Amino acid sequence: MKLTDLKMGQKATIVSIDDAIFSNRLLEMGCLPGEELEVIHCAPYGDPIAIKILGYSLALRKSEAETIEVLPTELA
Amino acid sequence: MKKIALVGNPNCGKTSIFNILTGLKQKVGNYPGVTVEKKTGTFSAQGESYTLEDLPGLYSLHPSSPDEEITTRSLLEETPHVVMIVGDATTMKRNLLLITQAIDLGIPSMLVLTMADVAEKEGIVIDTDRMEELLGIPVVLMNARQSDSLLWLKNTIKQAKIGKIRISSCGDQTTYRDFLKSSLEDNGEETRKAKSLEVLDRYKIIAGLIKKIEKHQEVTRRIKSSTLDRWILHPFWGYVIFILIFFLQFQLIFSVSSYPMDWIETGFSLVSDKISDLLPNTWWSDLITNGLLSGIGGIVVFVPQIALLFFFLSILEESGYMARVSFLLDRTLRRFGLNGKSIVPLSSGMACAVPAIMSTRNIGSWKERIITILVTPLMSCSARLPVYTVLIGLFSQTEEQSWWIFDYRGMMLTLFYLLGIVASLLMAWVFHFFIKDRSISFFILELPIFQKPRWKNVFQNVFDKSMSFVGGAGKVILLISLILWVLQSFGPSDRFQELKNTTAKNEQQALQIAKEKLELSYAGQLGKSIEPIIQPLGFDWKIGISLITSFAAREVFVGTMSTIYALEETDHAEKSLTEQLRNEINPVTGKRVYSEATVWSLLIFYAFAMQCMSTLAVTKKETNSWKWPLIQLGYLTALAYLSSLLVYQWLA
Repeated sequence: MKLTDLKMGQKATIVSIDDAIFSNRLLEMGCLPGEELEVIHCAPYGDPIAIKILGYSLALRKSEAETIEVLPTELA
Repeated sequence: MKKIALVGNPNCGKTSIFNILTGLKQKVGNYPGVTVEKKTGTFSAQGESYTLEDLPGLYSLHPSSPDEEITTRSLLEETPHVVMIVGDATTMKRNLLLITQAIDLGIPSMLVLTMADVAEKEGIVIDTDRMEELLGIPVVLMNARQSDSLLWLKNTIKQAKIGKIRISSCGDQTTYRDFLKSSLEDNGEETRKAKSLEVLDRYKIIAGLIKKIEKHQEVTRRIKSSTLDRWILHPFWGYVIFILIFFLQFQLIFSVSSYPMDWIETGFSLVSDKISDLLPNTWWSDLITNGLLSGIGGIVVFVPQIALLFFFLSILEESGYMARVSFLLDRTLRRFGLNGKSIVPLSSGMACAVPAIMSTRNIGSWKERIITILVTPLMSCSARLPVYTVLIGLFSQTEEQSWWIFDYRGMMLTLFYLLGIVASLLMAWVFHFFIKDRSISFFILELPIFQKPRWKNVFQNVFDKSMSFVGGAGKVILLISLILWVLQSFGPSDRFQELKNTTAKNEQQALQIAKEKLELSYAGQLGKSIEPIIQPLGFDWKIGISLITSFAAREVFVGTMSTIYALEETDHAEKSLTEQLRNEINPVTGKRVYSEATVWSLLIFYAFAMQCMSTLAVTKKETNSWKWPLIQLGYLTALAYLSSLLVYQWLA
């Protein structure tokens, strides 16, 4: 499932990241396969969202979050 | 003198380290080649003097915005003697990406760890000895509460070493530097793949490193960021808080700054009177009092407002609030072709467009950055304030008129601030259809933890920004006031010379002579020559002179009008100018020159027109071409002319 499908407060592990021009930026910011994250804030219409990853808060747009494939922790 | 480059992630406490080390020995200069500002400072340690260069914060040596590019280029092209890397202990894993990249440059390096106390509260303890051993460079723990940290930091510089991290996919140091250099120029698919491979490789090594250097403990206390953020980033209350904070900020700026502004105005007119009493009545004493002093006074009077606005903006930025505002507004601003990050330049534009345009450098998307630069001058800067004040005073409604707590003047001012905001958004929207995308728009932004603003950083920032206004805009304003003085003091005709040599018998006659002199001077002739163009807007030749002179800087308008109407020196120049303008009668029609229609037209003109040389200069500097400042000048002038024409013809 995609990062955008997660609810507020839900935890998940990153499975993969689709290749896009900005995907290098996501990698550099620590959005790596196997890394755990939590959705912590949503702006209206769920765009942008903020996640907790590597111990800090990262904001990203819906279009960027859509490229991140995740596995919710409770399913793992 | 040995050169040290200071690098680190944004918000990692790099600026604090810079301020602690260099103290007041700082200066802002230009990078060679690219004309952008850089901050350097000097200090000495163990008998050696060093130059410390504060490079813009970045997450990776592969830049994704103009300010990050400055850092990478500077490290590659002007190889420093030592690289001082600053790392945030709370997010060690992410910081290690840049740390290992910097080590791989093969320059003697050292690591300064900040926020170790915050990390400890979150249950993270860093084993610095183990870290030194694994990275191969000295590690210093900076603790704000420990005074011996600074000494430790200084004494470690000489031990800086070339580290021992090697990434297999990048080869040795020279090939890594070559790889970085070539990837700066080439943005192709292959380079992008190679870069992502490097990042993944590094994180593999980092995962191993982190296990050895980070010890996790029981969390003693949750960080307060998350509870505060629940309100500040709330889908409804977040916006309420944002509007309240900004409203309060502007209220405070205007109410507080009016006192020092009054003192400065009174002070300058006192000094000017004293000097003209002391000096003999010659052309050069006139140049000093009416040209030079009034010019300098016109600059200094804006400093309180600009300083205060940057004081509040620095606090908001330092505390981590501005990143949250970007988060809240990104979606809205995106629809107009802007970026959430555009909110910082746009709100700074309410003080002065010059530093505001410089702050667009962290916007990664080229298109969004250009649009932000183009529309920032529409925000109501503090130079428009005196113009608005004089003009609004001309409306037939009296100043006493008020509704509850809102007075007429204040409401009109608010209206023009709103007009600036709306116009900048609309123009951004128009531009986003015409400007082609060169790079993709993205918004991947760290929300740093909330911190108490570090006052030293705040005051340093306020000082730097105020000085750049006084230095940059100041020079232009000064030059223009001198040119203006020359244009008014000389004229082409014989009659002008004749008038110049006449001595007035009384005050009434003196005023009469001054008025005729102005009409015959070069400035007057210039104003008359553009009269046909500005007549449809409801302006006469006297306003024409002011339009020409205030092309350099808007606030010159008030000074020019005061000179034109040959005012006697009073403490409240603005008020008496308003009265003088009210009584001005058109000799042909017999009606008031400053009718409602003309005043509205002038107000609209000043709201839109690109009357600021400094802004054009900074746009040229930031975009590195003449194309964008010319477009900016062109569209704003057209917008101002057409809107004024429409308003005047409709109301007249």
